[in-house]
Amino acid sequence: MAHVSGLRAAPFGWLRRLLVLSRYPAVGLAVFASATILGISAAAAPLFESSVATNVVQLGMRDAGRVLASMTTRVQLADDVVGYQQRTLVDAVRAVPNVGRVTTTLSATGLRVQPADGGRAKSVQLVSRGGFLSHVHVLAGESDANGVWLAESLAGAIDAGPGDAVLIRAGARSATATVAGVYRDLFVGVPDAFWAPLSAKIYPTAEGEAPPPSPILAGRATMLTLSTTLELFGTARWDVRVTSDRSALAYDAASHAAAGVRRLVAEVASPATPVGSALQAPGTAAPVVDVVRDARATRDSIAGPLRTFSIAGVVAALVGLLASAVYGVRRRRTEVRMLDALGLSPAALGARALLETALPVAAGGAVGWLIARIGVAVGGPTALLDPSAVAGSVWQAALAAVAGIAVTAFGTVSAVRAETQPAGTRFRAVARAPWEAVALALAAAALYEILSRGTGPAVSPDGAVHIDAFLLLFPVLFIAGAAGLAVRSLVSGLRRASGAAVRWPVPAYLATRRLASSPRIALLLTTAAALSVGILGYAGTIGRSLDIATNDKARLVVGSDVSVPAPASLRLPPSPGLHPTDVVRVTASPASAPGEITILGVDPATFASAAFWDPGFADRPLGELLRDLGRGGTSLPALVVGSSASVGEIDLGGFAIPVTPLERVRAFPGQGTGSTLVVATPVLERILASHGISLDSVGVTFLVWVRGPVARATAYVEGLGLSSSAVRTAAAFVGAPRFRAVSSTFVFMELLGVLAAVVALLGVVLYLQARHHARLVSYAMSSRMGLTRGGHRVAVFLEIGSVLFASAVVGSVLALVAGAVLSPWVDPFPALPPSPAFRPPIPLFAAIAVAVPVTGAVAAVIVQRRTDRANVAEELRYAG
Amino acid sequence: MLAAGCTSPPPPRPPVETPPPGSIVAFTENSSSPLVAFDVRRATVRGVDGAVRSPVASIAGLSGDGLVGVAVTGRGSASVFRVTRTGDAAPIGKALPGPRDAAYHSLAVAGGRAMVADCDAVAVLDLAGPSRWRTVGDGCWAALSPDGSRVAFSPDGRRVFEREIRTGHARPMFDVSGLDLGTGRETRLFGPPSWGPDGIAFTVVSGDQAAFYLARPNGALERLLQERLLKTVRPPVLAWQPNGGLLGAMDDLGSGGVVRTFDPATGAHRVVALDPLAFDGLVWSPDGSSLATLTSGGFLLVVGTDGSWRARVDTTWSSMLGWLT
Repeated sequence: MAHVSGLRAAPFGWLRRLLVLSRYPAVGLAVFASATILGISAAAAPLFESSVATNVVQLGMRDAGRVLASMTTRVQLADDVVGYQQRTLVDAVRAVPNVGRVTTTLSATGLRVQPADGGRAKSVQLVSRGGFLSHVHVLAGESDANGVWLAESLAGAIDAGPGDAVLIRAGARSATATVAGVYRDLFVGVPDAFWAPLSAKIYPTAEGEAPPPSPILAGRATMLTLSTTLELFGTARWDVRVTSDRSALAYDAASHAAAGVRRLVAEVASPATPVGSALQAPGTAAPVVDVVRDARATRDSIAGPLRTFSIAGVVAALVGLLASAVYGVRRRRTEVRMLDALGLSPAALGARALLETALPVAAGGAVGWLIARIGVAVGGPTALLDPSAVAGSVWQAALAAVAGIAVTAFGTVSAVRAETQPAGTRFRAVARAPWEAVALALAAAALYEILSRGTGPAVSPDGAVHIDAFLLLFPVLFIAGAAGLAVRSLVSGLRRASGAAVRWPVPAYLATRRLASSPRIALLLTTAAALSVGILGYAGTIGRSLDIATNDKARLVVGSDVSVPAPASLRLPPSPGLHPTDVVRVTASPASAPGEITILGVDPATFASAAFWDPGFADRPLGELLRDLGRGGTSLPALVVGSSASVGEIDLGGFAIPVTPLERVRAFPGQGTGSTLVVATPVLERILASHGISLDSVGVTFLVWVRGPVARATAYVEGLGLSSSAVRTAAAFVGAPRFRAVSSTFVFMELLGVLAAVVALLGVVLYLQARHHARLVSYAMSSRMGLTRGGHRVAVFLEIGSVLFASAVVGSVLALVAGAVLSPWVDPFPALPPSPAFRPPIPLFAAIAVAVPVTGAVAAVIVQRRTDRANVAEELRYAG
Repeated sequence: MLAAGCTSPPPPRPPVETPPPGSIVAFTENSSSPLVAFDVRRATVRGVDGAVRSPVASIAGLSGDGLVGVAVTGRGSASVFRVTRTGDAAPIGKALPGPRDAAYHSLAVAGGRAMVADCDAVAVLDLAGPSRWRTVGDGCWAALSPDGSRVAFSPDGRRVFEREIRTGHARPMFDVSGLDLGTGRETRLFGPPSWGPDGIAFTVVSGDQAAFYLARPNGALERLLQERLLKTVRPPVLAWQPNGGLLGAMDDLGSGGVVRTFDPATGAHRVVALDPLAFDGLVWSPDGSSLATLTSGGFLLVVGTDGSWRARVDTTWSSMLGWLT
């Protein structure tokens, strides 16, 4: 037959061998699918690590205003001195990779300004910052006009406008400048991050205080002309920015930039260098160094689990290739026996197998790499990946493919030997081996490891994030093993059902018979799909539980969505959709014991609506607790947070204040790191007043908490005149590398689940292809007995749908079980309540529930169409 | 204007450029070999033989195939000596005994003459026939013309006179007391002037202000730079670029030390070095491409006229004398 044509010494016969598996689509697809998994497993980890690290860099650099490093020095603001400093800095900065612009900020204080023709003088500051006009709201004047820009309040105060001359004085010296325009005061409205380095010169430092003198803004040349004339000393700041090239924020590029910045900072600190000598020991900040350190920590945290996944995936794929090779030999046993009879040596058979499997394995590896590349780009934290990671993933995929080819050849040779030796039935024995028991035993061992560790598996002893590989291995082993068992029982049930199916409607009967006639393929397919659904569901469950717990922890630490220090107790105006409250915090000492205790004062009237509260924090509702706190007499009612010793009196402001502990609560928003007493601020104030002292006099810190959308809450506190730079948000807390590392790992797991689902769908295609001929014959016969096209379509739908449905049900149930068992253990910050609770991702499971019938229906339509177009006679002849 | 404060870094260049050739002759704190010559390009040091003591003030100028230096000792005596390329030092003429210790005397070597002013007298010595010091004026601050034929001196720190050394004829040049630095206080010379082809550069102080001026050959007085005067520990050093039009200036009148170059043709000035405390001395390389000074940390710093560093060497030098080709 055509299958043995390779025996002839045809020219380029070896080339034809490359395409032999195209004649055996089922075998070819099995090899291809396994190689695809191999490629994905080998390539995904380095790509995802790069994506996570790069994302940390992107977020960090966004927060840092894209500034790599800053240098600030106090300097004589003479044009030649500043020019020399800038030249030397720019010279030094050239050695830093990925460097963009250097923004200069010059500022001087202690000036007075008045109209040139006389009038009232006002205190002012003179400020120049490169590109400032793009970051002010111009009220009057042209952007290309030369001169100085006055704030609206200043222009009104001295009655000056565009084109007017103003006299600027510094001590006995004075200089005249032309007003180029008027801008809206910078402390009005939402602050622009551009002005963050100058916030102390723009915003009031305390409630009720007037803002600092509105800065006169000027271009660099105008500023230096004025400052030289006025002989000003002031502050020069240089912000070294990252280039606008998007790739500069990739982890590798940022690492190189950070290394360059470290050298720059060392250079700047040394008087033995031109720049160090010129800048004369400036203050330096290197945000990129911190950002890269965070990124590296996050990447290192996830590297272990990801590599575990990767190795597990590669091993599974190699086993798949081995199985495919065995299956391929069995599929071609006639040809194999003929070759053996012709005296072909095992080595020659191995060489043939190498040639035959090389192309599909290489193609599968390449497609796997491509799926991993696209999957990480789409599903990872960012699509921007390091070129080195991409190159590394290519190498890993290539190496894995080579290993895959070798394993397939080995499997082929072994199978040929088994096939040509009649006594060899070991493969059948292997196929029947209870591998599920092995997987479940390993899963039990992994679970034991997890449960036997008391400190929480996500945090290593040094406090750094360490994601335990067992948290990832357990669900995979458990779901694989349990799914295998479940599916075995389903198959045995199917066999029993096939007997009774004769009484069922024709489509159901046909679907049952078809599945029962090829139980191993159905078993394999159902287990694989169940595993993919299980991984996806487990990762989604843990990810959601973790997200909710992390957000809760963040809000517990911050107290609410937004927290910001305030200079005093503020009147908090209402704002729709926002719930503000003011909180005070002070450290006291227990009168009867050494140590310190945090006193957290809350406003019982507004606290409940503004603070984050989890009913698990206390045994009674928050409202009741707050009501009791407000009922103070000479003693201070207090909630005791944590397991601190009972407190009868505290020493505050030099007075012993009796405390009435109301209740011990497990946690409280804004609690301190040690013992905390929660009291009502009005009661505390009243008791302090009875001793003749106030909150201010005992050194309390005033805080404003706001619950609501972060952007609006931030704008609200800024509207109160509070510094935007001090705003603390729960969202920023959640973005810390510790949390990001853990959540990223489960994002990766979800991604693998999705990719596994894609491969499972490939398996469906494989199954349909493998069963095509038998189905066609059965359809040809059945249609003569009255089976309609619609009935056959329903039969195919039931056949595929039942496999997928079983997979979805088994996978989902096992995912939920694994998630419920491990949710409390995936805690990146176990010292902080609440622990992650079991929170299944309903939308994800709903999507799976929808995907199953849709996939079945689509498959049924495609199969029916293909069946309709097939030539039954030709197929029967081909089948021989 | 929008981009005025933003600078895009140009492509990289070598951080330190090759220094110009020649040796810097300097006094060290080493008593066994007080005078050394430092080959800037090779970074090698050799002692200069000759009985020259460490001075409180010194200056040198190129003359023939060597360097002629004037050194004022702690007792106020001024001695002149020649340092040859072979590394020898030999006295020229007799030392001029001084009346008292005066660290801030004006010293100059130009046009075959050496000059010293010790606030009592301005004296010159002909290097070709160094038989005696000739008194040509009085005052602390004085300068020799580039050809050595004339001396400018200020007997009172306000008026400046010019005297033809050969004939003894003198005429008033300018009066700095009329220069307005905006302080309402009297303006006086501070430090020795420097006479170059473009005129006489000098420093004046008034109240809390200091300024560099250039007296053009036509008599016009041009202000080069005015700055706040924070301290008067020592006067600035002004030095004209050999064979060029730039004026080098080192001062620590403000908050730290600064070395500048002035271009009298354009009025532009440029900082080429900064020190948190002060610099000490300023000498030009013979080719006019670089300036050498000592930092407050005792380092020899050689910078190009564009501010680029050519050399930075740790030294134990007490002062620099000059740059020998």
